[in-house]
Amino acid sequence: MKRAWAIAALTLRAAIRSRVLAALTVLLILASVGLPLTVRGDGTAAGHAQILLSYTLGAAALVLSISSVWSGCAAISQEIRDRQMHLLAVKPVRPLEIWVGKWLGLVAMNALLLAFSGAIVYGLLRWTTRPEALAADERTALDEEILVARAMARPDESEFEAATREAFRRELTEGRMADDARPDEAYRAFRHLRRLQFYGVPPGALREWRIRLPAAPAPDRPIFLRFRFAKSELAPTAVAGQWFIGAGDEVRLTVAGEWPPDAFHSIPMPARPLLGEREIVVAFGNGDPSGAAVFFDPDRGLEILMRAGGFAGNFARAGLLLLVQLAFLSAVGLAAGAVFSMPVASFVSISLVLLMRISGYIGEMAGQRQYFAEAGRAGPGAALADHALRLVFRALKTALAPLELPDALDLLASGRLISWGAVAGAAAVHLALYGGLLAAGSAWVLRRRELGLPS
Amino acid sequence: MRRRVTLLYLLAALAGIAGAARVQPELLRLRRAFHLTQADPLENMPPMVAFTTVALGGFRGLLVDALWMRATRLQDEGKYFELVQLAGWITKLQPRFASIWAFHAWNLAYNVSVMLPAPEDRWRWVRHGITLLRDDGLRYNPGSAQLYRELSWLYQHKLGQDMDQAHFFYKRAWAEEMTRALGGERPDFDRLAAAPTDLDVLRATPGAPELLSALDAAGFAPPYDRLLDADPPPEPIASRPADDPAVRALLDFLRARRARQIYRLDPGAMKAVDEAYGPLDWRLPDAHAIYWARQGIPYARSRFDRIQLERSIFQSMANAFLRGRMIDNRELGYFALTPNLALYSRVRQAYLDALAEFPNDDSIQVAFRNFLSDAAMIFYTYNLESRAREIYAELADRFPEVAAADGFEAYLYKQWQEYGRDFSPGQASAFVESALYQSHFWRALGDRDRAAGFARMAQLAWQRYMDIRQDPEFRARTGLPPLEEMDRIARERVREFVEQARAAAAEARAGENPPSP
Repeated sequence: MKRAWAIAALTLRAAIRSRVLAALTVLLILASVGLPLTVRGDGTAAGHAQILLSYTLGAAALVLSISSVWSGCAAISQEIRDRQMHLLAVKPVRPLEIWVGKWLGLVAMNALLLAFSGAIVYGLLRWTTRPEALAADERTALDEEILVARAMARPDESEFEAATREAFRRELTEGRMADDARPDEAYRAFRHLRRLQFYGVPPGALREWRIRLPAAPAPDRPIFLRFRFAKSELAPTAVAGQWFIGAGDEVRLTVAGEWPPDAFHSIPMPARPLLGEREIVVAFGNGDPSGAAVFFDPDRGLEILMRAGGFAGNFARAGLLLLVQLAFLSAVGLAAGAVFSMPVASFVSISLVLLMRISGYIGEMAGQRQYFAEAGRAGPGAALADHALRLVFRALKTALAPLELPDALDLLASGRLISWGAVAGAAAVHLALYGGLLAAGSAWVLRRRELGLPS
Repeated sequence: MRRRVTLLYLLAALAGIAGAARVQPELLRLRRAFHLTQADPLENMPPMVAFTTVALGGFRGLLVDALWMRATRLQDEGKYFELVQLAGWITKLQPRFASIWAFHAWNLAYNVSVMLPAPEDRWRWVRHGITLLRDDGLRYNPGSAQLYRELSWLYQHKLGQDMDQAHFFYKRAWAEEMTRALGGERPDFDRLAAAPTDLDVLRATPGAPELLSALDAAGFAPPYDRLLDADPPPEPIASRPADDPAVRALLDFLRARRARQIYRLDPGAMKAVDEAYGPLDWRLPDAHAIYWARQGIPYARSRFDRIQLERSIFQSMANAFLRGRMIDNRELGYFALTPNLALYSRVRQAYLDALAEFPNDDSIQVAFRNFLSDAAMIFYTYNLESRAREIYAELADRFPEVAAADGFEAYLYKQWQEYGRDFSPGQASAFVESALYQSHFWRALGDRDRAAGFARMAQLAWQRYMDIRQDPEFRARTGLPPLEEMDRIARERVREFVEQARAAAAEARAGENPPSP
């Protein structure tokens, strides 16, 4: 490992000497200071803070991502081309140590640059949102909703899932299913319908959900009920109703009001009545005089948000999550550079990064049964091609799914908690598992690759 | 040899550039003459826009797609903080595509604003929409009649009508802004147009250097923009008489500057609009809807554009007639809009002008018929019976199908019945207030029975209108102010009328009996 650290130090020194570090530093300063001056928010202090976090850190992350892939590709392939690798390869250093050393050097460079731009953004944010520069209500909104780490909880669906499975079993046993229906597809459709009912509230009715709180309520911090619903009428007029929040059978908080459909609403509630509770019951009474039913968005239409930590810690964890991504990109670049020449390595790395970016689409395609047949092609050729494509998409989905990461900047800018678990999980998958595979593969190639071929 | 060839190439390139420069003005003239473009090429394009429109080439489309998809996703997720910037980028990547500006301004002002519960948050987004069109859209498309129409529509419909739950907030916020910027409902256009254009010219006004020094000492830095928002005015202003030439020159300078730079209003054009369509209350959105539609008319190249702009004008004027008089009682927290009867002749003329230009357009005919019908009712209920009869005579002449066979009274009765079934908020407000006005008028004249009859009619109309608005949201958006408050306004209006009548009578008497020398 000592040898790997020595190579890391050499890599870092080479980056400094080649002015890569200096050029990137200038770029990051320009992005960190120039962007907030040119980008317009929505005119609120919260909007300004969100823009500063997502655009400035996003620009820094973009610059560093490109440089990570590029430097990773160049670190080995260029040294092989320039025959500098020969000097290293003939020394008592194992290929794995060379690869790890280079990677550690790149990670250190990224860590330095990310910390630098992070410090600028954090300083700018703290300066522009200093208490004397803001009105009291703006300050409160910032402190409670943006510059905070809020954990989120959604309704417990375990009872719903059990009941749905049981109901579906009855449908099957009582023969109410079409003969040619595929059970998995039928179940998906059945569950979807029941889930809409689970989150729907007919006019004049009351629906309740159990929510397990992610942390113990603190007496001086509000709890936020965030929701969005659609209504059964086209008119976009507000729906009147009442929220009941309590524990067990006891109602401890009520909030009456009118809320327009299709918009996200956030209601701050005092936490004191819920102190000591870890599971609460949230109910909505639909009292709309026009008789409209409401449907809460099943995926993100009903949430409890509560403070689980400070902003500084969340900011640091977002930085770590970004660093994990950069380290992984460096590993991809290094692995490609170990196998291919610089242009090919760049192309391969960028293709892999693009594949990761469209993993959602790949996941959707993997769930599809037919591709060519749907496009109007029939026959055994189309069926075979469908089968082959499905295999490709499924393989890609299996390989890429673990690499999906939460959007650190989005979470940070919306005041959502980035947990240590998420950071550790990302490090385990991206660095230990995939990074390890890339390192082992690269070492294997480097060991077998003929470095002294005449050019 | 190689150097000579290079030199030759350079000379050929220079000759080409010189030749292009010579024919360019003629090409521009021909482009204008044949209406090949909406406007001259932009010469003051910001570097970033010039760069993106030229350097990105075909990739602009891809970038726009990506930005548009991001904007749609964020809007769907309720994350609005980036939308102003994204709309700015999307539009500036295609700066000459007027529909894109129109879409994004509409999206911000209509779709995003209604997603927010607080009126002040909604107002911010409505302003974003207006600003996008007015400050940038028209800057890049100065010859686009469509954008003038869209901007006019935002004022006329989003601010002026009552479709949005927060429409009273918008009207009030806009009125406050305009009061600060223009000094009141009737700005002095000549003074604004003649106001000093820079501080050096202002300093030449007697007393101005001392006033500016005093303002400097009071913490107001040049160019003193904050001064218009200072409430109460700072000591250097408050301690001088209102007609102090330096104070007047400074306020004119600041108001003209804000009108031109922030609201893109040209005092000369405002005066022309007011003379043609006024007297308008420039604190209300209708005046601005008329202003922007009027500015777009020279650029209307198709019948559609022209008719849409004309429609914006006469619809806004009709609205100003029905609700063009603002009452803002801060003490009682009461804000209301009542009929501006002085506008009748101008509104009528606007309709006649539009009909003269588009005689076969049914929508203008119907709108004119409805306007005459409303006007006859309102004038009658304001006790201006002879005027109401004149209007009815015109209505019966132009649209015999709506006139009653038994004459004016029968027509009024029929209209009352129809109004009672389906009042619009503007009609309801005008009807109730004018009935109350009648009640106080007849009481002042001593006819108590007639006064009581009108009061009962107002009470009935108010009650009936509010009874069918049980839904709280509908009631808040389209409901009438408390009857007692409407009654107080009507009483005040009658008192003003009686005082004016007394003053006129006294003046006439004085004229008949001139004081002896």
